[in-house]
Amino acid sequence: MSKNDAELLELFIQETREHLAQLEPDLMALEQEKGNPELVNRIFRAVHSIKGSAGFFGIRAMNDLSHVMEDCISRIRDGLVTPVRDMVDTLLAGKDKLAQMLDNLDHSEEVDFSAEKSMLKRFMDVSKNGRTECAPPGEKAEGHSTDSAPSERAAAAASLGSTSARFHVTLDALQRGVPKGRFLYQVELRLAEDVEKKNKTIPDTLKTFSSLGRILDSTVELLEFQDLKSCLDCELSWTFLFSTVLESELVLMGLEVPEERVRKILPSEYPLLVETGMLAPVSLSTSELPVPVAIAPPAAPGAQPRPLGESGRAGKGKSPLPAAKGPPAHGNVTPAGVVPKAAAVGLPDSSPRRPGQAAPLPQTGRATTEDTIRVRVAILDDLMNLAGEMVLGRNQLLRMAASDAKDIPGLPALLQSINLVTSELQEKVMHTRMQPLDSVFSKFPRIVRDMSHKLGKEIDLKLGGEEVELDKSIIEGLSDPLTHLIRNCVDHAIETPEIREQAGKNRIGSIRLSAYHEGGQVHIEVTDDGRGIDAEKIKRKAVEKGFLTQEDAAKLHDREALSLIFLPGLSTAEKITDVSGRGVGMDVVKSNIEKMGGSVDLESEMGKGACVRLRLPLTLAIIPSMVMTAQGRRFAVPQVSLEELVRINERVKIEKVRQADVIRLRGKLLPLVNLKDLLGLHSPEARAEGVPTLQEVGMKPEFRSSEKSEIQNPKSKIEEAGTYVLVLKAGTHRYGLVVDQLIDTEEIVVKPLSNYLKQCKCYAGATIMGDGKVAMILDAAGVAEFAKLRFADLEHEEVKLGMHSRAKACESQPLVVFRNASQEIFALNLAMVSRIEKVKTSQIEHVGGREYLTIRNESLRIIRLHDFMPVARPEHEPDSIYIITPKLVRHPMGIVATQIDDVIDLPVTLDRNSVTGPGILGSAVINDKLTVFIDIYELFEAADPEIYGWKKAGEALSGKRILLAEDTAFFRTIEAEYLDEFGCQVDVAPDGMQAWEKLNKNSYDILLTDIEMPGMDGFELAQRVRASEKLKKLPVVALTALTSSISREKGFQAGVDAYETKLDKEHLRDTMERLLTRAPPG
Amino acid sequence: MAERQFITFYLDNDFFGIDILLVREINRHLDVTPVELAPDYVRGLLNLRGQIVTVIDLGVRLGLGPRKIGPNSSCIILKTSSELARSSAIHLLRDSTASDLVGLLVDYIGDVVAVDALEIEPPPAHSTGVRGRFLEGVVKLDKGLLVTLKTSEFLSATAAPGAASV
Repeated sequence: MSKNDAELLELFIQETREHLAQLEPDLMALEQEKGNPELVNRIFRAVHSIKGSAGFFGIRAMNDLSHVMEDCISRIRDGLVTPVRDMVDTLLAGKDKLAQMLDNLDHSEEVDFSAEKSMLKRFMDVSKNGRTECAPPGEKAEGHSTDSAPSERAAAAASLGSTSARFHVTLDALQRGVPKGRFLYQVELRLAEDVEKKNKTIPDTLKTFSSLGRILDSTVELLEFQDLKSCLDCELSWTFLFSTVLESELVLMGLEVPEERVRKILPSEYPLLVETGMLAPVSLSTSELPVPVAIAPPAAPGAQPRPLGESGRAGKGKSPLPAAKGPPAHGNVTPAGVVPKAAAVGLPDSSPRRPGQAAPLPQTGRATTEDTIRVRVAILDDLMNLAGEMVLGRNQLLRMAASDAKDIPGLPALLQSINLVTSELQEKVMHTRMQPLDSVFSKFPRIVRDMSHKLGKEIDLKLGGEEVELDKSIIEGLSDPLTHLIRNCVDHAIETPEIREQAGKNRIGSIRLSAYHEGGQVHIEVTDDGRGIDAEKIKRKAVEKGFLTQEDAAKLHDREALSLIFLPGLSTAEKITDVSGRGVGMDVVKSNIEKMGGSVDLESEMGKGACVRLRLPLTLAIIPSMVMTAQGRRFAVPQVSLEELVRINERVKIEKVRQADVIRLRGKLLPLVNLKDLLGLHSPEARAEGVPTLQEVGMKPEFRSSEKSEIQNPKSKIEEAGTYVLVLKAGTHRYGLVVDQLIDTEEIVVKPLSNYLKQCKCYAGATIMGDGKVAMILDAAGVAEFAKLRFADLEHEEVKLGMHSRAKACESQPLVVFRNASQEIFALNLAMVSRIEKVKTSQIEHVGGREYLTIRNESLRIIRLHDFMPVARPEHEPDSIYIITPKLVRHPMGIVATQIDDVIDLPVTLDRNSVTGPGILGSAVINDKLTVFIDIYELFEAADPEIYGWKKAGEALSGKRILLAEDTAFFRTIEAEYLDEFGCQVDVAPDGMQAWEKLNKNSYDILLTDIEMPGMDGFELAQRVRASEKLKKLPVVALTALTSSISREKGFQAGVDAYETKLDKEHLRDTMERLLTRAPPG
Repeated sequence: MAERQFITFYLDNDFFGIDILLVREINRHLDVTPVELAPDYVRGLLNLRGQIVTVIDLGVRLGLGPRKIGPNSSCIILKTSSELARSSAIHLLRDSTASDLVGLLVDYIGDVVAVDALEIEPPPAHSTGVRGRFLEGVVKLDKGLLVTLKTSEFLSATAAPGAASV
């Protein structure tokens, strides 16, 4: 008994929750669509169901409140009252109170809902006086409402015939629910007589029903109803519409119900049933007499059933409801906890629906019993774990069987099928945890509505992409950040209607919350058309708070300034209206999103609005990671935080700046963290033997903690074979993590850490590797924090080291050296390479005579050098090849290399004459070998003339005199070549000083200058040009490998007209043409 | 008469017991991955058929020094608190476990000992120091004193004396 009760109660709670969830959007829609009968009915049914089942369980407070709400809604339904905002407000408040009670059923009595109740009563009183608009909820006497009770009761009694128990079915639902070969019965079950006296339980009875056929609808009614005091002693009559293949006699036997309470309904009677809601309980034999009146049959005399709940609850339930009006059992009573939900046709559909969206009509009679079942989340979590295990097991199996598989016939095929099934299984299991974003989004219309009313704003919230699915855990983690963003929008971003009108905007502010898939991630955008964010104010604030110096702030771009808003502590101290609205807790939003492996972006235009973009992974459970070792121990780093890998060798050395290890990475200082030192890793035995760290030092000097050993033998680490630096990003900063060896990238299953390890910020979790051992997953931000990296110091240092080192670095060229056939060696400037990947030849697809490869969900055309250049083709096709993807081109194509020899940094003198041909830039001797440099533009032009078709240089450039200031011979040669091709006359200068002299001596149409040059740099040169009377109109184009916006800004300030990336031939020509036609020299 | 059963084990020569209802299984597979920067009593993590177990060095926790892993070393895997809540014996216990899967590293596993609840005496007064609160009671057995442990106390992460090793 108690177990059944508990199960029922559980069901009741779940169902009621769904009703409540549906109520909110419906109530809000009610305000807009006042006359939509379908909507009102749906609301009515939901409240009614709650009331019915709350009464069933003796939850007095819920029953009482929902009763009042139901009365109010029934008046709306009957057109006696128009739902005005205040009324909807009160109904919503009532809904909240119901939810509150539901959350804490044991203390539901303590929830005070007297305010809502008296408000609702007042609305109803007004309606009774014949007015349709509500008086302001003011000083109406409490006595007034009690006065109304008797007359109301009388009114209700008079309408008894029309409002008592009825089914809510449609003809369509009936016809579909009762297919050919089935019969429809109307069965009345008396709970005391048919269930309790026969020692059965309600679930048993329902099981009997469902084993014999299908319940289409049900309705409950109290018989012998006098007042609420006695209602619990009344017989409860429960009537079903029952569809089955059984003949009448068998139904009687099967259900054990007396003949007079079962009526067979013929198809000809369906319209009548739909219209009247219920047919008179004519016994089977006399069913020819349709009596279209719904009259509750008299209760069996002498029936004195006890209430179904426990006696304790019944006692509570006995206290009379304050104002009893009308029989509580009218309409479609569907004790939600009892009837299998989807079987009851006409129940409000539980799938979430937007206000405004057309509600599915009940005719669709959704019989979705078989489509969905409820499953405990814990079971799904277990399944997820097991599936993860299975993946690991499969990986091990495949690895072990790989060598022997060929010897056993049939085994390879078997392995493959296990492989596939496992992957699919894992994917499906992951899918079970996916939830639509709707569960988060759906609460915002209410929040926006309530807040905007309170603030006197008019706001239209548009939702989009609610159907996008994300892992449950991410959905849960999204709720707070999104709420925060939306509240910020309403509170601060959107202006009051008056201000909006003054600004020439629509009175009604708009907020758009939308989600969509992109690049394997889910993007969520919160866009508003409010006042926008003032970058200057943020800067000022940041300077005030000491996050920035005045000079640094001045250098910041607006976009960079906006990102300051994510700094913890910026403007949390006071009301932030002075930073035009954002900032409170934006750092919290950011950290929450980043914790889930996502990122946050902010864009804003003053006066026009702002857009916050969240990017989130689909799931947290499985992430691609780089696995590496330090001191023989394996660790994983999520690929999202990994930017690039650098190998430490003679050319890339670890240096020291203010006690901190750094490397120079493309002219920038990158702070380093040595994983071994950070974690105090020593030999694996040390810990296992339980010997404390300090004693260990004397015994094994090579493992002792960092600083000392480094001083004694500073080279030991650097020269250790295979030392790598993982360049990681932590927030806006980057740093290098020094490790011993790289293993591979792997998809790893993330396991959360126990509470004992939560304090170690360095770890994001743990995972189980293919061999069954546990490895820790490092958290990039946590490691940076723990290592106390001081990024600001380094940036300062960098400025000091500044130009000098960069100028030096520019002398030599980083080159990728590779081969296509075994003999010929090719080289490409690393600055032009986006990435190099190793792929299997089998992955290449052939379409229309061209070869394509799918990388990161994009298809990339790949080209082979020997197809377009006069070079040798490889002797045989290797199993795997390398794809070099260049950057700085409009439509990248991958270049095939069979072997990557090296990435080297060398000063190169390009010989343009020895080796020539299409796609060949020139040659140089590298490491005593003749190496051919590839001209990507020519190569691509040959490969795809349509896209790269080189329209012949226009008139604009021919004959123009160009001065090219460039210190690096390599670039100087190539760029001069390009200019030559454009038809220009080129003059070159190896540094700024010489360029300045030439400018003063001769006359030129355009100055092309490198930025970093010894002596006078490009900025200074541009400044001088602008300052000079003779030259100030000369177009200046800066050529640079630097793309940072700060240097760009600095260049424009110095007077540069345009920026071009070195070697980007197409852009360079376009820009030059543009400059020349715009400002004819003269 | 209420009878309680204890899984007994040794740390060096000291004899301890843990209520059998709290124990999920005993594992001799001790391929523990150490976790740096963790509290000193956390020996590391263990893969138990795909679930990650936090292995606690009971020696460190009870102030008896770290354990050496030898041929007899074992790991007593405790039920999680939610597992415990599902078991029917929950009302018999006045003790609880952690919400995470935890294993206790011990030197040597002894027998399962059945004891009349009345025979369990409170721990002696002089063991009321920091570690004293880890003790639940003492049972006089023929072969010596069995000290029964209070898991809820030594599993609580916050109350760790000198928890951090860093």
